[in-house]
Amino acid sequence: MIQIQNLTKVYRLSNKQKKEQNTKEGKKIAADHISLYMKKGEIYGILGTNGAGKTTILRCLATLLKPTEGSVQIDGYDTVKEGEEVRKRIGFLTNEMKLDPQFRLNYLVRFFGMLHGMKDAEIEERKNELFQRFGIMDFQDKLIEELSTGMKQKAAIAVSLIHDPEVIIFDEPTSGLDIITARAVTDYLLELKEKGKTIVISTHIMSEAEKLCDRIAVIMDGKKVIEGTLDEILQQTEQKDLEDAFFSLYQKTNK
Amino acid sequence: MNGIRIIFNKEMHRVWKDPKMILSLFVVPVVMMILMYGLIGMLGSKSEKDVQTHRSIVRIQNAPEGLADELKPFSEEAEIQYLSSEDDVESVKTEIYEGKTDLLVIFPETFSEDIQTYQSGMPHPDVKTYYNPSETYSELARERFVGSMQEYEKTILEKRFGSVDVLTAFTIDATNQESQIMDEKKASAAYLSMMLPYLITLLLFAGTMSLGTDTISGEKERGTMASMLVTPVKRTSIVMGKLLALTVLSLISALVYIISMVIALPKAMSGLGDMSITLDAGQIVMIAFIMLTLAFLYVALVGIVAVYARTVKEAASYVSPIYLLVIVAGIITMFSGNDGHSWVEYMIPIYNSSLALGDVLSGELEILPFVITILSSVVAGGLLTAGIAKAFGNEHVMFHA
Repeated sequence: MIQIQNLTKVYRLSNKQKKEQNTKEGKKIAADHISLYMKKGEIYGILGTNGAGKTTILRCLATLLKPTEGSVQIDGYDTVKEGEEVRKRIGFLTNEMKLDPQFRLNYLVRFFGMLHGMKDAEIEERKNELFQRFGIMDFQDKLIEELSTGMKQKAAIAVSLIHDPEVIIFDEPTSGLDIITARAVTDYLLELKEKGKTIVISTHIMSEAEKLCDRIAVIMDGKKVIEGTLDEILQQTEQKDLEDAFFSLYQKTNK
Repeated sequence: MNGIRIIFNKEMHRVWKDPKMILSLFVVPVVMMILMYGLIGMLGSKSEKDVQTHRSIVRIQNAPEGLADELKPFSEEAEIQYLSSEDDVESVKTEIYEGKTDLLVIFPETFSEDIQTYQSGMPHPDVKTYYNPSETYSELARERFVGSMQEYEKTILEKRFGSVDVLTAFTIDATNQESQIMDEKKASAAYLSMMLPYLITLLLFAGTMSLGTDTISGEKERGTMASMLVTPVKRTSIVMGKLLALTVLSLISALVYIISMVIALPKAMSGLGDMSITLDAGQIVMIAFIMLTLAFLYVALVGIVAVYARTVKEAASYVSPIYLLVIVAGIITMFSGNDGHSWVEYMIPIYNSSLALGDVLSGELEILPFVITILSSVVAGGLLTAGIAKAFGNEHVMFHA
């Protein structure tokens, strides 16, 4: 279970960043007083355009960023005060996080298992289960740099889940993947949901959110503009599908 | 502790399982150095031999009769062409300038008569030489010529006065064959003890530089650091594991360098005499401690730069000025001599290690400066490590947030 209360994240911009973003302001509010609640056994989707603040929220959940204001609790542990306890319970995956290209997949899985305090036998068992599930058994002795994009993503997922975490936080888990690999990933997320895990994903693929997510929050310019099940969102926005709903919300906030 | 061990092992694994890394860290530098010193030694001895066997090309104008006999062995080792007073010497001077001819000597036309009819108070006949000091052959030809002329002068004076005894007030070492009192081994050891500390401090840093920027800035740049930061292992464990691995690797790299140098150098530079040095157990322990703590300090120094840099390239450009500083500190110790260092000097990190290494090699390091040096390196390295660990927890540094 994840409890986000009044989460606000303000970035200080360097002179270079100011130039890049064409602004004179020294600050950027990436998350603006966001409160969300994610339950066990559900897949929660965070939807938004590029730069809306999705990744910032997820990084705050993963203890990589500290909220400027507000708090995040995962299974009752505060991400700032009890970071280590939080990290024991989460599996975090984002596109910017990579596996070391010079290492063999097998080595890295063991390495991350050990960092999570797992014993050799536990790692081996869990590794076999995950590798078989993702069909990467034959690639375990390959260097990461030798793997294809899809294989790399599967390997990254396997590594992030080696310790069988209760809370799974995936930032755009299917981005850049072909349809078959993407399906394998979403199917696995559904399986994990059945096992009672708490799952949060961010995405900008509307069809994926429709099929996968039990509840959805739409984030625009760092603010939560709507939250609810797919039906609730469609009802509130009076639209037929999520894409139309998203678009109408986008037009409203950018008037 | 467990976290440190896991990270340490991974860093070691990265190097040992990568043939390219081993090659570039441990093999190529050694081969390059042996080749370089070998080449220098070979060229040096070749050019020395060349100079020794070269026959000087000499032009002599108005040579007095019987000069060739008087100037033995010079005249036998040179290709001498005699010129008359009408011959053009300007073209010879041009040849000297161009390095084609080694020496031009012009005797006064009346040299022999002047010598024979000389009386006290008359001006001395002046022999003019023209040579090119920027050419080794030319310089040597003149040196040999002047030497032979001095002998020639002696025989003239003997004829004039019957004996040169009255013209000699004293001699220096004329009968003393054992003028030079030195232990050749020690002389070369002194040379080595001056060079080695400088090279050790330098090579240690060189090894640390490439490895350190890669394991810290490189991991940040590649996005592999974040994967580690979302595991429950402590930030300080990640930092310590990485720094310890780096310390060990740069020590190994420096040792490989030093050993190959100690082996290759004397062979390559045989002209410098026997350069082997013998160390007792105490000296070896002291050197080991100084190098270990210095390696740790270097690693922390490179680490703090690497953690703040966004990319490996940026880190490398920040590290370069520090490398220059290390070189300067080494050079200062090379020329600062062996005596008169106050204990305050042993408190200055990096400089003190180089100083202490020199003292150990010349057998002069006392226990207090040794302890001060070790403590200074450990404290400075420790402070930097704390800074790195703090930076690891700083989202602005790690994720540019």
